[in-house]
Amino acid sequence: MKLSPIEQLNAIIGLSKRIEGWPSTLADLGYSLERIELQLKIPDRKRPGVSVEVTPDILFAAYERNYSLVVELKSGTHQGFDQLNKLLPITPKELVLYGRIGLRASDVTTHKISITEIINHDFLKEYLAEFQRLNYEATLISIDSKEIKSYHGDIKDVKLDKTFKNGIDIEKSRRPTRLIRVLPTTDDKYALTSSVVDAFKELWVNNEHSVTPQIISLRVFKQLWGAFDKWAQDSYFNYARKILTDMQRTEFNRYMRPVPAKNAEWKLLHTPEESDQRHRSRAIQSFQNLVAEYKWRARHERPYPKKLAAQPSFYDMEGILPSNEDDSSEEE
Amino acid sequence: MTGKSLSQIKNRREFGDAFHAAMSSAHKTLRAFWHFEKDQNLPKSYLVEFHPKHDDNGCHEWTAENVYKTLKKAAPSYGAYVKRTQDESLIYLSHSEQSHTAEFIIDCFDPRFLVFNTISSATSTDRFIFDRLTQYQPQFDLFWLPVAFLEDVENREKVTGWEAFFDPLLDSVEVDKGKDTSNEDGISAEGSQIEGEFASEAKIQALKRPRLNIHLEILNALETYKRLKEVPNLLPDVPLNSVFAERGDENLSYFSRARIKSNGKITGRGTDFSIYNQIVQGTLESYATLVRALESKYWLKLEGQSHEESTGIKLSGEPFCIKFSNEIDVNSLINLMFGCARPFRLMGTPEQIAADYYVIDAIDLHVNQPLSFEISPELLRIYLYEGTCGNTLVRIIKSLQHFVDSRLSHPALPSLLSHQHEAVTY
Repeated sequence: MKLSPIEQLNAIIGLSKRIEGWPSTLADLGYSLERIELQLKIPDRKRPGVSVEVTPDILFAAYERNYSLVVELKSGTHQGFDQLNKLLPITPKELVLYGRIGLRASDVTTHKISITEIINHDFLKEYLAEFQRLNYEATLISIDSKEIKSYHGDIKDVKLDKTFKNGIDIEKSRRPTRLIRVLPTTDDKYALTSSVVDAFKELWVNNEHSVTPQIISLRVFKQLWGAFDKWAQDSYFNYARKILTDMQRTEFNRYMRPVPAKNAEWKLLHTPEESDQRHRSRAIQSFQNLVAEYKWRARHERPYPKKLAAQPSFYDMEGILPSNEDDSSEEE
Repeated sequence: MTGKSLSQIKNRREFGDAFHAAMSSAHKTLRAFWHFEKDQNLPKSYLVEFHPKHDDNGCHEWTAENVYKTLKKAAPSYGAYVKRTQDESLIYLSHSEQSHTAEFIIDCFDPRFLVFNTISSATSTDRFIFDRLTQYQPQFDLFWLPVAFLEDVENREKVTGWEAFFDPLLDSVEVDKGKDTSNEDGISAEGSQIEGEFASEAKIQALKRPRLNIHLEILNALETYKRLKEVPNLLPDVPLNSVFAERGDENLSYFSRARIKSNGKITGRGTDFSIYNQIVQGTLESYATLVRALESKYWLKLEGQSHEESTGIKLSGEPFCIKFSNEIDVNSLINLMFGCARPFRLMGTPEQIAADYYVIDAIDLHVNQPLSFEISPELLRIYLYEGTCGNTLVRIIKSLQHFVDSRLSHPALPSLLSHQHEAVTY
């Protein structure tokens, strides 16, 4: 079983919360989730006068016990040690000064940071070979449907190290999957697609009149949207535009029409308020079936098997009118 | 103001006088003749949560003016007429459709948690509130009082009666007709009649858990209820559906009695409307505190942390977890919950993530807001995203208790005095 990046993120963050049906290993040892996708700049030890940006996926901290755990998630095959190499030199003082974590100044000198890479068990063999070959300093932990277990290196918190080395049994547990539904920079294409479709569904149910990638982005991330950098915003924005374009050309053709002379804006059609009150539930159910079909195709990467439900227009024909994707001068 | 239309009410004093007159008059008639006069009804209060559309920043504007504007906009769909009174926190609404007419004085003292007060006929007022306003206007939702909330009424009022109701929508099993539980008329346990040539081959749907409807009025009524709960072999499911709360002075020279139902409808009797209104306001305040506390604890909130030197995301909140008393059939539960139909009215499609384990990104059609679920035979997790109303959470608990598993357990509901321990096991 291979977990996607978002699935890994949820599973590991879940260990720091007390969620019925899932181990609370990190919470039991006093760890709480400090930050996701922390981005900070630290001095490069090897190059005088140069600072490097590091972005650990997750940072947990157990302030009472004076430990922190930096986690890097990898869902695919081994791609080298570049990111881990940047993380290893981080000092507690740098976490306080440049990462703004809530560590007391008096605890800085004795604070211990552990760096961990968490991978899918399917790729353990190749990762382990590389970690052992270099006797690499970071800890290597794998996850599958049965356990979360450490295979290389030591976590500085002895209790946590022992727990991971013994393996955390998750065979009968229920993995949490929706603590974080999506992040704009994730490699998880299905999570991205699903977020766009669900936001579109929400707009339609609420009888909104139009949809744009911007509206979708704000609906998905709310006030968090402003916290992402330009690259992350552009990345999600373009993906949303691509999915909306595809939706209009496939299952949702009946429910959306491009707005003439507007780039990447669609009018929503046949919203619930347009149907008679007595038939509203049926209209919603029909729409829901399309959501299910579209998501199923996205998950299994299948092409749209049918002809367009409505009479196709020029807007539906790929290549006849300039594609939205081709236009990079997007208003944002 | 007895006999006059509620439309003449201008302020809170006149509202109190009108309802007091109607209530005491109905009480006197009932004591004297054992029935009401024509067009005489008991005062009723429907507790309704107002959830306006959020602005671009995801914020809601809760004001009496916003309540008025929203009702005014929706009015033509329901044959309703809305007008302000001199008191900005009181709104008058009348509704007339076919043979149904109803009048309400809407108390917006807390513009999020409203009271629709009426002395019109229950047939018309129920129809307007349950089948029109809260059914089709996502800005308005009922109060949903779960079992723990109704049990907690004992901490505020004297409880002299209760009703329990359980209608299993999930737990039926097919049995051969020869072994069925139907009576001689061929009526099965679910009440469906099987006739003609199909009868001999038919499988009968029998209930695993008994359907139940109890009404009990007695002094110290909740003691009887608690004793009944302790013997599950006798009645496995006894979820409270309403409680009868009483309040008055020591000599009962004035008193009021209210039937507080799990759907937020309160019906009053007695001599004093202001005393009755104390029961209503006590229920409202307790519920408002509960919903706000649930939102504070369970809202999953992602916050951007942006400083000069670093950025990152903080996550707060946690999912709300419900444990079933016995393993349930996941597919049946998903069909029941996410088919857009009552009682759950949730829209969502399941995605399987393991054997017998599904995730559903849903929309609550009461309020048209998103939330997610994870469902397995023993567990149901609810992810309430920031901005999604806490009312949704209590509605799901309440509906599961009355239609699926009354003995489910869930974390203690914050703010309820009698449930401070970690897990409530019904």
